[in-house]
Amino acid sequence: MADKVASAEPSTAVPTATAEGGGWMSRLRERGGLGVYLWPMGTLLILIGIWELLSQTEVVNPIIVPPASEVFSALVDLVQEDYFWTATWVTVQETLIGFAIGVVGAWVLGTLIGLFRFFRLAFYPLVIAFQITPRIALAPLFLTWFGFGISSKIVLAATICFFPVLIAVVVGLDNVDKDGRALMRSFGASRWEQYRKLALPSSLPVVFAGIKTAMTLALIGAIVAEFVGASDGMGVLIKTFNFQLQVAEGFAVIIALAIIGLILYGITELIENKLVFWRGH
Amino acid sequence: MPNSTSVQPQQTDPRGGSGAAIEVSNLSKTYSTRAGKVEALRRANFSVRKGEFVSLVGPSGCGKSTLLHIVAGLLDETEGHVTVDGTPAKAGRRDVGIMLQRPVLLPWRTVLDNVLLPIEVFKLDREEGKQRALDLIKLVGLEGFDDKYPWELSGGMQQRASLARLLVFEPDILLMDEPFAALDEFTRERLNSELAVLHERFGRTVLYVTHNIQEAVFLSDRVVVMKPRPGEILEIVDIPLARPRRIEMVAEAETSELVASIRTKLGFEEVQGNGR
Repeated sequence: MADKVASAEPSTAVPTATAEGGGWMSRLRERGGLGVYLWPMGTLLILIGIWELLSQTEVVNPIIVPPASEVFSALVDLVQEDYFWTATWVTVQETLIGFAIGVVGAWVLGTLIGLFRFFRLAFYPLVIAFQITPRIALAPLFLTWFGFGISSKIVLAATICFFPVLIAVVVGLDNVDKDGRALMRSFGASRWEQYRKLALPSSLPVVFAGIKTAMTLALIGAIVAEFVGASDGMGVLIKTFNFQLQVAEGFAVIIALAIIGLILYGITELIENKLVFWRGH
Repeated sequence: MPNSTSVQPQQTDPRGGSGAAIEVSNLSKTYSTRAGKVEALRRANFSVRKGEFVSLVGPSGCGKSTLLHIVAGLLDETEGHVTVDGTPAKAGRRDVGIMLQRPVLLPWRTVLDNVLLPIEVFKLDREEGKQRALDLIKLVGLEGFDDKYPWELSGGMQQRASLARLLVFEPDILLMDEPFAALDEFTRERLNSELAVLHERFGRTVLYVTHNIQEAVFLSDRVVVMKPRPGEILEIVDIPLARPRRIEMVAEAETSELVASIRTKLGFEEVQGNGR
């Protein structure tokens, strides 16, 4: 089609428009894609540069704050060690299992509270009260109850995950559009249909905000539980390196943790974007 | 609106019968709020014949929307009763459809799936419903947008989709609560003249709530004039304008006179009310 037009009327607007469209496309790609990563990367590099400089010039004590280059080489050494990967796997397992249990449990109880008056009256005030308790403080107790293995870490991760998701589910269900409900009722929708076709999908954007918070909290829960007492895991590694004053190695584990956190968060966000594709509209 | 349509002509049902589609008797509604009781509607009486187009007009707070929601079975009355086609009003009737001021489309469903929502909930035949939905999407001027999401459409287009959803399960009685009030003047006028065509072609009974007098006169066979605090019916005005209604009629003298007389009724009451 376009060819025909172009050949019939040479030098029409058709090729110009295409070229212009291409220009816009690539400019958009630059702004939306690379720029998003380049700017924070630049900032990070400058900060690392300052760190390196302060440590190398001994403005700060390099034994306490080793230069970035040393931390980097420690990380390179570390990833070649089997014990590092064993510890990583333990922590990731604790985080993911705790996260899954916390999210599913919170979603179920949140849904009951959101849908049934009885559960709201009986449970919601307790939930709010319990939420104010710093759950980290439960770590020693869980250690006593569930031991040095991964179960006490899973339980703490799940407990910490639980509340943001539960609150998000209740808020999401409370804020379902009134007109939408009226419409569903006018079609004679049953309670189940109102939930399935309106309330559940309506609540998803809010629920996912809670789930993303829960993902980062789960990792925190697992590490804190490991600090309190564990036989294996990245928290144990950090503590051990610190005791041995191998500060660079300790830093390296923290960086590895940050990367794991980013990956887990990224995966959650990917799932969100797939599942809640209408978000923001 | 495209005039060519594949919506079945059998739908054209000359409902010239004398039976009342909607019967409102002694209807009152009092809301209890923290500030005390609010009388939203006081002893409303009127009926809508089958195939008739009746508008409820009045300033905000006159109870017109409350009345419509009671007819739809979405609100309970405090006193009096409403019968729809001889049986008490209730939600979930297949012969009654409601359209609201906001389009209320589900953002995770395409236009087609939004239009099919009542088909699913009423558990009607999906294949048949789908064909009708596509025909209606065409009829309301959204051909080619059936696989778009609501947020990809303009406000006017969203309200057209909402209109298609209202018509897809073929309710005999359409309850419309200021359906085009949120749209710009131009779009509203166009959708109104399209609604007039729909009403005249398919002979559906319509109860239409608006605060726009001109719109009410243009569309209706009768206009129920209401006043606020408490919400009460002042008068029911016959609109003897010829059918089919054409958009040019808005500018004609007969229309203007009717609009002016209704406006006077509302204005007069206002002055009197303030004087009390």
